[in-house]
Amino acid sequence: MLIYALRRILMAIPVMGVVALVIFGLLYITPGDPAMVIAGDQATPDEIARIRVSLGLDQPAYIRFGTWLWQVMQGDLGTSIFSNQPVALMIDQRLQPTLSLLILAVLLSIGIGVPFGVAAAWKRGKAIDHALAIFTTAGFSIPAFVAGYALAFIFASTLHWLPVQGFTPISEGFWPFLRSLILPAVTLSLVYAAVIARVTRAAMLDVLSQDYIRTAHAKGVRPYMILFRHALKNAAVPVVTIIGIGVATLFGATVVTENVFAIPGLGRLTVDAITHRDYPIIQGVVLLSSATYVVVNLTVDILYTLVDPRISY
Amino acid sequence: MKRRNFLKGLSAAAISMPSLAAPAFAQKPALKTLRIIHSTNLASLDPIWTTEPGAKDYGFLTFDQLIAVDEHYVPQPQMAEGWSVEDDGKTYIIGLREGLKFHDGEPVRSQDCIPSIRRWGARDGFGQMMMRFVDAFEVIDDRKFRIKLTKAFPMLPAALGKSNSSQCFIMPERMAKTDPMTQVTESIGSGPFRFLRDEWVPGAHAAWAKFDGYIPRKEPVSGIAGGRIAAVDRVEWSIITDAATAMAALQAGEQDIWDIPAPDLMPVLEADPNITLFVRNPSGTFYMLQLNHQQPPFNNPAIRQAMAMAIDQMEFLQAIEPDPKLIRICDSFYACGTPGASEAGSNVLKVKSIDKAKAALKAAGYAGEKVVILGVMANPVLGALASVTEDLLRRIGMNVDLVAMDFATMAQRRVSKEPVDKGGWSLFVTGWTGADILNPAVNQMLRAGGVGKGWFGWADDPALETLRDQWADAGDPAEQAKISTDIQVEAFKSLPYIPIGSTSTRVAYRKNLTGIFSCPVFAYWNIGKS
Repeated sequence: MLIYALRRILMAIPVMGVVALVIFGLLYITPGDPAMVIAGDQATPDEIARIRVSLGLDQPAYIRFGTWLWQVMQGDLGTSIFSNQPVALMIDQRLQPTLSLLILAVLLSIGIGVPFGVAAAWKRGKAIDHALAIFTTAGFSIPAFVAGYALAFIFASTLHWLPVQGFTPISEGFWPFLRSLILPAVTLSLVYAAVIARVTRAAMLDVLSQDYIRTAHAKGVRPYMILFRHALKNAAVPVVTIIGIGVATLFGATVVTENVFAIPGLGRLTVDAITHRDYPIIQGVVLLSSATYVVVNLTVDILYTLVDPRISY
Repeated sequence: MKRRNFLKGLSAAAISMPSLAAPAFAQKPALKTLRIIHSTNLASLDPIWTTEPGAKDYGFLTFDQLIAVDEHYVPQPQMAEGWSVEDDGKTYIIGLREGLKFHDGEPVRSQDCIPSIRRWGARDGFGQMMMRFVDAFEVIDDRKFRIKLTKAFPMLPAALGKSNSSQCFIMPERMAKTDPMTQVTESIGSGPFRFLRDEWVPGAHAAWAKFDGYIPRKEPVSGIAGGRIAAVDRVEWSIITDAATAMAALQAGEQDIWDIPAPDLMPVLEADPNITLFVRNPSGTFYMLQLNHQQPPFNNPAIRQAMAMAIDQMEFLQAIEPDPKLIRICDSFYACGTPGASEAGSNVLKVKSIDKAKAALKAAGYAGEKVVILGVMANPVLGALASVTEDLLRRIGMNVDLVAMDFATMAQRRVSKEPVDKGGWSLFVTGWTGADILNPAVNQMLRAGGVGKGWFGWADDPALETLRDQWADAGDPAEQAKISTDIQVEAFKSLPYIPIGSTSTRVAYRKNLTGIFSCPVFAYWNIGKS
């Protein structure tokens, strides 16, 4: 297993290199020049050219890419063109809000989706199954920004239970930290809870129709044992897969939620960097994002072996 | 438990949970913290290196100026104790007030002021004009220095005290000696608030603490002149880009001021008894159509005139501001409502006729050349104005292509002098504050030196350039005023750009704030909390 994990990690390095190259290429052909944004409306072409030189933007693309790659290999993600701050520091500043939001949203999605899916499969065609259909339809069809505004209106603006916006670091206390994340996490988790519930229900229905489940019933095994020990464990592979995909996708989906709740996370950092054409930040965040995908996929593959002993690497 | 009792219990619990209702930022000692929803990001800490709005607002909190214009745009001493003019206007001696300190505790000296002026003068348009006249800077002593000019330049105090675009902020000598094209690495200021660099999260949050070593002037605040009093212990910016979230945060009391509320949310804010709306910048924002004079069809002066005949400023302004009280028709190249503005020569803007414009276009020989509009559609105001322009040009029979883009793309593409089919452009919409178009020195769009000298669009009108030089050389204000009018009359003939009116923007703030004053910039001194 360890050798497998190491091999996967080593294989990820060239993948990330290709991703970095593609992103650099895309940025290179995208119109827009940070020097012009910096220089402002009054600047002369000569001034803009001097700013480009001072930022190294006058260098050929392959030299800029090579320089950046060399920096990355030395553990340096570069410096922001605008703020003059190390990209690693800027990502670090934004990591806690995004990771906290992501973890809470994933926990909520699993906490809602898996039990709901199991219950709906167990009581197929009954009220809870219909309720799941309504929940999943709503989860899929209500955009995150609509759900976010609605939740903020009810629980923040009207009831004043929770803050409208902002993020409180965990260093200022667990409860203030949690309060600032409840609404965004619920917003973010709605659609993924619906997806997980749907997949769980389908997987459970498939397993519950198997002969060994019927045999367990015939032997008089108690229903919750059948459900959780025999059925859910065998239905777990697709559920783990969809959770893995969800974690990776949520990383990108945080952009909208962070904007609606003014959370200073990586999503907003990326959007601001794109607006300003702050290339080192964009490259740094994309690198981190691709690394996250690799780690999540690896984790999911390892989890397969834990939930299904028939799978081995 | 019965369902009804359970629900009653829930409601009671909700009411009795005061800790739940506390806003996130109330966890800090927020008694004297001014919390501002800042619409633009603070991406850089060098207001000379970049003219980004966030950096300018940062500059006004963090740095001070030698001279600052009052509400009538008259320069007044700020860090300066005063100045004297000698040698028929060719020498200025500026003295500093006693006890001025930088945020690192070091005294502000002449040796700091001179490189600060030089650095600003290398980047700012008005500063560059001023530096053309500067022969030498001489330190007389730590609190007094001399500026020797090659010829009299009476606008020198106005240049040093300007409120628009880039301002002459005073930095420590070591910072001010940084190459003007390179960003400073420190944030040691001279102003009423000390920047808390450790708390800075670009794109999200910035904070300042009151600088106890700052000595404000005794005069009452007026424009950006007068006493800059730190009336709170802390100032915090939250960069909230979503308008609905910003409004909700202000209404919930999580924030105190919203610098640029969205126009479509004004009715909600007006109806809130805890919120006040105030036109803080009386000079407003002025919009214009910037034409490319180097490429067809707008390289033809008659076509520019024909287009101007079709302009009805009200059509443009109503598209961006629903409140008629905040709309101002302005048939001038200078900011209406300021001393320099007049309607001299503006007859072409009085026509307001599609039919006459069509006829004039035909007579001008328009042959269906494509008009490419660079539309910054990501910005709701500039996007709406671009759409109105597209519609107007179609109605007068022009072949129009509105190209949607973000600001960074537009900023790059407008540099192109190529034909439209090779990546060039025909026009774009831009907006400037009233302070940016006060006079020929600060109004960069009135430059008409052709390719290489003019602003984007590269208007080429030697008569206009000559008048501008005469204005800079003019010895007295009356002569300058006359030349300023002549410039406008000439500009309405060659149309370096077409003015399309102005709107006033309001700030929204909670009623417990005190000391909000009219100001051409987003300045947050003197504002306290009751």
